Amino acid sequence: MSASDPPRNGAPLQIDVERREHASVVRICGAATMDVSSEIGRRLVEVAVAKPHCIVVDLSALEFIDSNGLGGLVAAYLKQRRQGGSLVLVGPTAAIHDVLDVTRLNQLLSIYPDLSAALAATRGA
Amino acid sequence: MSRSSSIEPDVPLQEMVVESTLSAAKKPEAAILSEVERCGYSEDDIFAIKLSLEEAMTNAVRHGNRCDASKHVTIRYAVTPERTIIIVRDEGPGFCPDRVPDPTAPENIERPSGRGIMLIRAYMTHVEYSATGNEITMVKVNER
Repeated sequence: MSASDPPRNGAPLQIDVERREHASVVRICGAATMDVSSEIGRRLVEVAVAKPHCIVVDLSALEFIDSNGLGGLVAAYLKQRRQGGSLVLVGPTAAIHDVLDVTRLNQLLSIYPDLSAALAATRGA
Repeated sequence: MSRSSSIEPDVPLQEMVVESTLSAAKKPEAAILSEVERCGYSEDDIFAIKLSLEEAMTNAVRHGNRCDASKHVTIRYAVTPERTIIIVRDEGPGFCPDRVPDPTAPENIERPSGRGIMLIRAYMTHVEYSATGNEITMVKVNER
């Protein structure tokens, strides 16, 4: 962080999509703050339109997420389920994991420690 | 508005008034978090205050002021090494927070929205709404 940056803004939100085996891997990095968090739902639903067998959402570099960003995860999960696919989460930090626990989204969304575990668990599922 | 003694501010509050947009709402957030860091709060507490402030600002802009950028959001705050008090007020008609469905209930868990208020309540030490429902007071006690 440079001296001119506002404190605690976090890294800019970045969302990358990669095709891996049977899944589309969506890596969400940085801070999903209130002014940009709707991008999570928009991009995930965009990925779901292609009807991948599974969407694996890699949260290992996600620093912050608000309720709107959580809503994007849920919206994409529901779209995947409606079309017979799945959406799982990978590697949230302790802070993000706590948000998922508090909202009980950990009961709706499967969470895996790393990408290989998620890919193995969803292969053929 | 009646407040419990734990919420009643005992230090002068600073005030910022911003236009009702999410980008403008970042300015008071930066000011408050800068003070919170300076006062030595833990990483967990900083995360909690940032999350709660963002949820309160989002509610004020989207639900209170209904994304009308001609309206304003007023933020009053005080940060001490003991606790942080943040009061966010919008220009909307207010609402009854008790009527907001519990987003963790099984019948609501799949709803994409409606988690902001419960997150604020979960992460802050004290939370109170004004009688008119367009002002929220949030307190975080520094446990260090």
